[in-house]
Amino acid sequence: MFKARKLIVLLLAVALAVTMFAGCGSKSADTTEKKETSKEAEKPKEKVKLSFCLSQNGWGGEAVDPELMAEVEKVIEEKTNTDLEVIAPPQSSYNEKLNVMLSSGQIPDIFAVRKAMDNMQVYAARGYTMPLDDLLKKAPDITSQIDKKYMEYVTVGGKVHGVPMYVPMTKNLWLRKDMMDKYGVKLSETPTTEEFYNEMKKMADKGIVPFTFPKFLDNLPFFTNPFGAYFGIGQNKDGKFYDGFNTPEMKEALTYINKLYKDKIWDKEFLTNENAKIREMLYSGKAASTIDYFNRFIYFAAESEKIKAPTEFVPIYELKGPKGQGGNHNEAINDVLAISAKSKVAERALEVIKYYVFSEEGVKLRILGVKDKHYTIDNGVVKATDKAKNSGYKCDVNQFFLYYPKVKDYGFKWDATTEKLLPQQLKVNEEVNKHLGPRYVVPGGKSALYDKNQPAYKKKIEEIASKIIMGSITVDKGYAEYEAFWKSINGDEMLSQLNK
Amino acid sequence: MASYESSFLKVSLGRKVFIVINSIILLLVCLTVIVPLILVIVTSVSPDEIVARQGYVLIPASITFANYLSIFNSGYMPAFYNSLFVTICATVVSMIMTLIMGYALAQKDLLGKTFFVRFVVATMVLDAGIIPFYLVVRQLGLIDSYLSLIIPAAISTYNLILVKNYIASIPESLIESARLDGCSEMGTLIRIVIPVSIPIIAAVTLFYAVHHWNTYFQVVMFINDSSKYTLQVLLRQLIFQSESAVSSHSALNNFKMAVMIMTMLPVLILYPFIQRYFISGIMLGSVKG
Repeated sequence: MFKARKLIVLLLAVALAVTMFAGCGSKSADTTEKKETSKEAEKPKEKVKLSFCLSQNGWGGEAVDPELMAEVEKVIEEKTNTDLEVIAPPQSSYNEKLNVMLSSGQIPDIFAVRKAMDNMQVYAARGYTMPLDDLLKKAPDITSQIDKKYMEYVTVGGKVHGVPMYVPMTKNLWLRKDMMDKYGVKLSETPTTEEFYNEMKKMADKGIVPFTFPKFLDNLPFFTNPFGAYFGIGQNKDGKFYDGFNTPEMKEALTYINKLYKDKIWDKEFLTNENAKIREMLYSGKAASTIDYFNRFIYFAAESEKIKAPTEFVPIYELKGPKGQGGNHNEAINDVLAISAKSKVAERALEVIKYYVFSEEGVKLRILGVKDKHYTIDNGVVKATDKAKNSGYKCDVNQFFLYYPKVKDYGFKWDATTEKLLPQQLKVNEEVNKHLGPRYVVPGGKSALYDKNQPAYKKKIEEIASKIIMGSITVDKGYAEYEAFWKSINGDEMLSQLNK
Repeated sequence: MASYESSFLKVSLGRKVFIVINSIILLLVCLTVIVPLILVIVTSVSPDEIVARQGYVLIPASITFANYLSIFNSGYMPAFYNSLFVTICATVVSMIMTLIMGYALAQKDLLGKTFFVRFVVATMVLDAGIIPFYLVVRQLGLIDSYLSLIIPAAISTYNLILVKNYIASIPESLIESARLDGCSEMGTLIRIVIPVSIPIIAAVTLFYAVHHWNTYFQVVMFINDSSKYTLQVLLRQLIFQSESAVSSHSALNNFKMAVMIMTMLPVLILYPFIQRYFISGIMLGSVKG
C-alpha cells in the first residue's frame, strides 16, 4: 500500500513536471503553414491566403479598435481577392514582434520594415526579404511613382528588396509666430547658424524653452549639415565611405550645438524628450520651436487652436553654415514594405501592396478607413464616427502628404480649420524638397565588421555627441574616448572593407 | 486620544524627534503612492478643454463621465472581456496545476524529490529567451490562441515554492489521519490540504490573477488577431500612439486615464477581499524549505 502510494505520488509529480515543461517538446508539423499556398500561387486569379504584418496603427486612421480594423481588412480582401491574415502588433512593440517572427523563420508574406535605411540592408543580407526586381517590372504603377534614387536605398547586392511606403521624409524646424513677435525674433526660412543663434538667444531665460529637441539624436543632422558634417558613415565625392563623425566639421558642429545648449536656447531636458512631448510643448506654447516632419503645419495649428493657444507656425527649412552648406534632416525613406523570401504568393502580395499603398483608393482606405464605419460625410464635411473617435481615430489630412499617390479629390471637405490651412501646408510640401540634406546608405553584407558593429557605432556617436552637447566632456576628451572606441571596433579595417 | 497625547509627552526628546521624522517620511511615502492615483482618477473625469490645456489635473474644476461612456462604446470593451476571460481561465488552470504539483513536491517520501525540486528551481534562474520560447509555442500550434497565454504561464516557480512550503508545514498527523480513514491522495488534497491552505491559496490566486491580467508581452508575441488582444495591449497602443514618428493622432489624457482606470479596476476590486490572507499566506509559505 505504502509503495503503491509512493509510486502514485511519483507518477503524479512526473506527469506534472512533464506538463509544465511541455513547451520543451518538439513537434515537427508547422500548423500555421498552409500547404495550399503553392497550389494557389499557380492560379493567381483565385483567392489566396497571405499574411500581412503592419503595426496596429496602419489599418484605417490609426483607430485602436479591432472591429474597425477588421472592416479595413475586409475591403482589402475584397479588392485583391485575398484572405488576409493580419498581424498588427502595437507600434511600440512592432520591431520586437517582427524580429522574433523573422528569427524564428515565420516570415509574413508582406511586412513593414521600420527605419529601413538601417534595417533593410540587414534583413536582406539575412535572407528574410525577396528580391523584387522581376515583380516590379510588371508593376509600373508602383515604380513610376518612386524616384529611382530612393529605390537605391532599398537595393541590396544589386537587387531591390522592398518598396518605400512613404514619400521621402524630411524634418525642419517649426517656430511659433506669436513667440517670434513677442520677443522680436526675425528669422528667414533659411537663416545662417549665426543668425539662428543670435535671434533665438532673445528667447532664452524668458520662462519658455526657445528650442526643444527629442531624445532621438538621429535628428542632429539638421544642425550638423550646415557645417558640412555627416552624422555617421558618409560617402565623399569619389563614392568612398568615411567616418563622418571624426571630422573637424563635426567637431565644429558639436561645439555650435553645445553653445546653443549652454546659452539656454537648446532644451536642457532633451535627453528625456519623447516625440509626443516636444510636439505638446510646441503647440501648448511651453516651447517656441522644435524639429519635426514637414507635414506638421496643420497639425500644430489645429492643436494649438484646440487648447486656446492659437498661432501660426513658421518653418525653417535649413540652416546655412559658415561655408554656405546646409540641408534639412533628410530621413529619405522611413518604412518599407518587403515580401518574404519564403512567400509562395509573392505576386499577389505585391498586388496587395499596390492597392493599399500605391492606389488613391487604397491610401484613402488606409488613412480614413471605411465610410460609415470610421467616418461619415455630413453636409459635405468629413467627420469621424463616435465609435472611431473613441478609439483614437481622427480624420487626418496630414497623413495624405506622406504617401505617393496624390489624392486631388477627396470627395468631401475637411473641417474649416484644415481647409483654411491646407494651401500653406501644400506650399511647405513643395518647398521642403528644395532643401534636402545629404543621406547615404551603407550596403549590407559588404563589410562583416560594419554589419557587426553598426549598432554599437551608432550608439557610441550618439553618446559622445550628447556628452559634448551637454558639456559633460570637452570636445577633445570626447574624441579621445571616441578614437579608443574606433580602434576597439577595428574601424579603419571596417572602412577599407566598405571601400573595397 | 488624550492617553496617546500623555504617553507621547512622557517619551524622551530623541524618541519624539524620531516619531515626528518617521511620520513625515511615511506620509511622504504615502503621498507618492496616493497622489499619482488621484491624478489619474481626477484627470479621467475632467473635461476635454481643461485636460487639453493642463495635461493632468489634480484638483477637479468640473466632472464629466463622458470618457467612461465613450469606453463602453468603443473597441476597448471587447478587449476588456478578452482580458477577463484570459485572466479567469489562466488563474484557474494555474491554481489547479500549482496546488497539485505543490502537494506532490511537499511529500516527504516522494521518490527523487530533491531532483524534482532542483529541476523546478532551475527554471527560476535559467531563461532561454524569447526566440526559443516563441519557437516552442509555435511548434505546439498555440500561436494566435488564448492557450498560448494560459499553458506556458500555468505554473510560476515562485508561487509553486510558496504553495509547496505551505503544504509541507501542515501537521503530518492531519494528513496521516486522513489516509488512515481511507482517503485517497486526491481526496486528501481536496478535503484536508486545500481547506487548511486558504491563506496561501488566496495570496497565490491574487498573484496569478494580477500577473495574467497585466500580461502584455506574451499577448503581443503570441497573438496575431487583433480582435483577441487584451486590454493591456490596447492601452499601450493608446498611450504610445502619439509617440510614433509619423503619427499625428493622440487621445487626450482624460481618455487615456479612463482606460487606465478600467485596467486597474478588477485588481482594485479583488485586492481588499484577499488582502487579509496576504501576509499570513506568504509568511507561512516562506519559512519552511
